[in-house]
Amino acid sequence: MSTKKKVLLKVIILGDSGVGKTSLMNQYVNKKFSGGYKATIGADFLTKDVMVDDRIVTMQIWDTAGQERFQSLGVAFYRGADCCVLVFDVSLPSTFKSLDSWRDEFLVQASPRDPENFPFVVLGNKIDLENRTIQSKRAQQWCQNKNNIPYFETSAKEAINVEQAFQTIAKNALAQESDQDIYNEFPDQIKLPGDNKLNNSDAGCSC
Amino acid sequence: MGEDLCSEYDVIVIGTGMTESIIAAAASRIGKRVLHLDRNDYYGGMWATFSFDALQRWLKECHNQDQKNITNFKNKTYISQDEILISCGSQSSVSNIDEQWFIPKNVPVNASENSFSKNEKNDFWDQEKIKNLSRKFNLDLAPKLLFSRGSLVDLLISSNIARYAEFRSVSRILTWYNGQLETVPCSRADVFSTKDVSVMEKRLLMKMLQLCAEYKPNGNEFKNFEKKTFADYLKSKELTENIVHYILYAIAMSSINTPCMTGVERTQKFLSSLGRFGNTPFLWPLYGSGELPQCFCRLCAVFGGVYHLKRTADSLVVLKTDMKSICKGIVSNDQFLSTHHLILNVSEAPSSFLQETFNEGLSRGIFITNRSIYSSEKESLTLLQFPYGIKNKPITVIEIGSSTHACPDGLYIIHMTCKQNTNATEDLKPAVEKLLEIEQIDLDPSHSASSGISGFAYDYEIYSGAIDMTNKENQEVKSVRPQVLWALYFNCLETSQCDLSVNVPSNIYLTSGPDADIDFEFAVKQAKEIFKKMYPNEEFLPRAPDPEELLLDDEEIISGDNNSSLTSTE
Repeated sequence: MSTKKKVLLKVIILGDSGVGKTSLMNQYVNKKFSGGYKATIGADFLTKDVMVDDRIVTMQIWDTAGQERFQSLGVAFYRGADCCVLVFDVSLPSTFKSLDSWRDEFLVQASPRDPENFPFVVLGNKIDLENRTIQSKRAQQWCQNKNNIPYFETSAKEAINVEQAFQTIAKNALAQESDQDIYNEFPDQIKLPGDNKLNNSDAGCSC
Repeated sequence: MGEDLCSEYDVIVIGTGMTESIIAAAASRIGKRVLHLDRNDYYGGMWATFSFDALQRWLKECHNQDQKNITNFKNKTYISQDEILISCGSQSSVSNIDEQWFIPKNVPVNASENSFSKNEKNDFWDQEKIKNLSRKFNLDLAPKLLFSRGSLVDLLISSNIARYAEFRSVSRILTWYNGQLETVPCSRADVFSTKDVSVMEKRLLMKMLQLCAEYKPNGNEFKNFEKKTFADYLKSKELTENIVHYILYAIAMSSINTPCMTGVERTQKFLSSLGRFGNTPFLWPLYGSGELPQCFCRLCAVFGGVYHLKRTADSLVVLKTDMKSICKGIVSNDQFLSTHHLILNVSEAPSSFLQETFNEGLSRGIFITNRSIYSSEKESLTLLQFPYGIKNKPITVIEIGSSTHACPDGLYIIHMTCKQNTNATEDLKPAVEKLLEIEQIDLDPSHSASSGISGFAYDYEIYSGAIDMTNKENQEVKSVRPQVLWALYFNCLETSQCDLSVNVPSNIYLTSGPDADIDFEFAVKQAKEIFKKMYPNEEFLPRAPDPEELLLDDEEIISGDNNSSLTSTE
């Protein structure tokens, strides 16, 4: 086993359908944007290596895969998240109002060790649109009231602020991860496919 | 209800148990339009994993289920001539619920502080404390393990669904022999390091296991034993009694009546899964078995499957002709949804679909305890086949600690499962009595025993672990049994042996709930069979591409409904 600990950060993106969760991920990781909307298909999670304080970390950004449409995200989705990104559409007030319930839902389902200080980041997306209805002040106010959640105004379409937002996300997720290291008493968790080198010599008991 | 569902599907799946979820994923994976519903607000049905609170809600729900009125739709607007509406069932599949606390509601702070401050590490557990840790519990309705080379591990890897799950390997296999627990040496390293068997026996054991591992159908070794039991065969090999016991009960997971060839096959299966991950052939899904259906559901969703919890079919629309009947769709929340195929968990099936009344069942027990049944230095994940249940039917015991993310530090969860005989409480009694301490913890000093120490203090010492289990060369003292803090017994249906296709329209497929076996093989097999019937020429869960291989293409984007907001209805 390698002594250098590889840091993998799990980031999940929440928010109402159509606010641009998949587009933001895609813009950030693939530098791509698709104009038309279709409910998320094919988006699973995207990974990207980022530099945070001279350290390379792998960020794994998990999409809701459309299961949020009818509020049917299972608890498995939330397991082990290091950071939660809440997204709303600045042109749709209902999506802003939903932030409260998404945040609550996250805290209930993921039940982080220290809910007060768990890193959230809020993104007000689609600032490229003309018909903006949620003003910056209102969103900032909301974030301040929730223990100063960092707030970014983004446009996945125009690639505005996306890079900066995710840099903060990575940084805060890493801070959370380091805090958790103290508790990581169980390093021997298994991901499949596991140790393939044993595959040929395994009839276990033949001697 | 917010957004409306699209009304046409290739496959509608009702119930999010293991089998249904695998089928949903497989259909979605090959591009079919899948709608997946579940009447509950959680995934998994009878395969679910619950926090302590959620389990309490589930229990309440089970108690209320009898009064659940099935809505009878008189509204015929959905159907044309020749079509009929059949109300869906909601068979109550859980019975004989028996929940017991063995600890006080709450312990006054001063009581624990004054008398027991010396034991800072071993906190005194009361009901309140357990409830406050609710989210730390992941309690399985159907705890199962995966054979490292079983069909589910293979499927998880080949389909690339494995990336959604994490596992721990079962770290030891125990057996109950001569009135006590013993570790079963199952890997080669174990066999050599064990002190419980002599060198002579080690050699016999290795030889025996090798014979089973190398068994080929036309070999000579088992020639005269085709009609005999595995126990007969083992006895014929002049093995010592404890070796026979290890192989028969722990490795072949059999009983005295198991036919020889079945025993050999099971031994082979056990051996072939050794050495892939960890020390034993088994894996345990982190956070509990209820994670696995959700992994398949996620894959289904990633490929476009639509998910809606808290929604189910109220009735089915069936077209009847002389020759056969065909399901045209379902009615759900007053909406008609058409489908080519319908997957229905058996608990949702209209009673007219079920040919027989089910008489097979499972007896389940879940126990929260203050220590392991067999303490060791490091926390273990334990499998034990307790051989001497009612009528010599084995009882499967799985013990998990906090490293599985299934219970809080300092506590253990013990799952017991066996085939139903009368009811769960009675059926599991043989194992409970041998392995666990089920006296009420009494906090009232006036109940004190006549011995030098007060009853309270005595109870406390046993219970808190003040009597140290581990220091004395982890030998005899191991036999101090864990105190049960809370227990739940229940029975549920087991339909894996039933023919579920007899009275069912040709494009409806009924799926079973959890079966009695320790692994997921049955669910995988049933899912494959049903998929094959629906799509005989299609591949079953081909490997899903990694996200990196899948860049969203600008060309393939179709514009759709732009203003889809679901929370506006909250």
